[in-house]
Amino acid sequence: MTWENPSYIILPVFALIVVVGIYLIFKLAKDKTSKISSLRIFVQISAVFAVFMGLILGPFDVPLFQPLGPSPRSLLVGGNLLGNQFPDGFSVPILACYYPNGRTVTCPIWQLQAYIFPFWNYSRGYDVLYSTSGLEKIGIVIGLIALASIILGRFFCGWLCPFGLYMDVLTRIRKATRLRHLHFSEKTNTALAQSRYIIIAVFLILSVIFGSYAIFGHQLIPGTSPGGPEGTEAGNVGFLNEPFCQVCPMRPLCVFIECALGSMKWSYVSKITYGPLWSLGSYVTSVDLAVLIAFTILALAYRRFWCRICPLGGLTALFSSFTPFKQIAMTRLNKNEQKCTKCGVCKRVCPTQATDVFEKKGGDVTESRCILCARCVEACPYDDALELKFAGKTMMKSRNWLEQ
Amino acid sequence: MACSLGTINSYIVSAGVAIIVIIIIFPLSCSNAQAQTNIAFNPVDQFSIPAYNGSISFAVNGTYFTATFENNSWTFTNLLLTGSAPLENFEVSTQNSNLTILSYLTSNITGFQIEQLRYVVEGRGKQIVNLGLGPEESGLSPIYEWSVVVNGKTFLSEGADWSVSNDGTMTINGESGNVSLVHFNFSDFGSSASNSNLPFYQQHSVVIGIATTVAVVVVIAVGIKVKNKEKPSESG
Repeated sequence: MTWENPSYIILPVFALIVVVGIYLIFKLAKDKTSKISSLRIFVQISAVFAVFMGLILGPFDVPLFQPLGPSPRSLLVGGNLLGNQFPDGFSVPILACYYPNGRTVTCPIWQLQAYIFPFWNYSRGYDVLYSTSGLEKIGIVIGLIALASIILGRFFCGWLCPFGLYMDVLTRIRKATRLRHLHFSEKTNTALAQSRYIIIAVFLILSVIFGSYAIFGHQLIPGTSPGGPEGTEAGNVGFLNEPFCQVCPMRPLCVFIECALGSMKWSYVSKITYGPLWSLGSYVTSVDLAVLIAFTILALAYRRFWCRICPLGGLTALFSSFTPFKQIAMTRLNKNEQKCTKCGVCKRVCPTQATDVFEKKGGDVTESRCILCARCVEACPYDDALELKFAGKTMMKSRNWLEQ
Repeated sequence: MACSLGTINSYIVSAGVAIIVIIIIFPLSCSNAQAQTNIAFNPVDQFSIPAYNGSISFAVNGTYFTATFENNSWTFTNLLLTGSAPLENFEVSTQNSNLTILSYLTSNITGFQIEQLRYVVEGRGKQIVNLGLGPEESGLSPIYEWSVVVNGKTFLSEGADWSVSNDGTMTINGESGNVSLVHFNFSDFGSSASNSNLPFYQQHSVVIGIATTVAVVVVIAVGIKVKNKEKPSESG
């Protein structure tokens, strides 16, 4: 079956469903302490559909992509729009993994790694031709992250990230089993937050090291230069140039879900996985599988565990929660000191154990650990004590739900 | 009790309705050939060329928008075979042979554009094919190449067995069996060469646009910050 540009129907229908869904949640949700949470999970699910819209839209049956399954691994936004200057898709600060089929935006961490290596100059890329240097593309990625962060900050983490949705689903599963979540001490939680910056720095440095054969002309570590085409064992060594993607849990999660849905063939995925215990692979390796399993278990115990160490969240926080960007960030969590009674509900419900909302006296209480999920706003039982503001306008505020 | 989310409620609904109206109106106003009706065909259908004692057929189902017969040649527009890439303009003729089109594939996986037409010929006649790729530029460094392979192993030589005219029409003589025509387009390879004629701002339009947008957003954000600072603060 070949579809002829179904986007003219699917996109408006999708937009209509999202708007109607949001409206219905506002109108029908009776429990004021969960209205924002209900809205958030609906927005998260809509965001997943938007990120992987290519699975729904065509073209299908493209022979080039036959080994990957019935849907194309192609881009909807940014691919053809920006031409060969920036053909890998818009950078959005969410884990929109580069590898699965049908995605519409791209993970900035993949892009930063890919553009460090090997594309300093005009060259061929991964099935594309770039007309811009690696430095220019890195500049575009950083510009897009800065733009997104200044406008929405870590709102992306709380409301739009697909992996965030996965962890929220795990949290709901845990709640259904009536198990209590665990807490980190403040010292541990702070250390985890600081580790994000170390993680991103380490993996970007590794990307340079593993790509040294192309960047500097010789291998800094023997055996890291690919010896064959992509899809072969010798060629897969080249994927070490994206070291973070070899450990990121989002990649195997996407691959497994797409295989289960039938939009990717497991026979193809396993065909390009090599070595004892799958040490090397284009999509799934033993390392990223182990990381996915570990973070799934940890997310069942600690809410939003990945978000506490997510390097992409750290990058986003750099441009929204630290001076000078903090001064101009448009999305903020604000606290009214006069109305706060220090009941501590905000601190208890925060999924990332952000404490500034409780510790700080008033004003802007957004911090780098805060994912702007507005759970504290929803749970705070005092009118106008907490507000989520955008561009100075109040978008959500706490209400006295005790007197409902 | 007034809903504390009432304000955002009305903003979102209004914005959502506006977005939907724009999304629905925009494609309708731009609707064009997507509204066309294509004609389906199947392997049983034959496109005869009586004067040349030849016929064209297809090995798989497909559709086309128009099929016109002129000067002993069939021209198909928007031809789409099942499992193949679309062909906007496909002109084909055959003399003293029957030609069955198998597939048309395209790829730029190698970094340059490749098109491949595969067909089966019965009878040792002549096939004339134009894939609608446009005129072939000539020069000291040709940027287009054709190859013709028969039965998967015999490369035919240009001049003796096949020729290509300036408008891209291929003529293949005296072959029968499975034929593969492959067209290589090297003109985009190292596309910096194709972009180097553009002005600087066009070559780097994306990064310039992003930088400009960031600067504008920063200015707006600073303005909002200053404006909010001037208001009496309620938050201590």
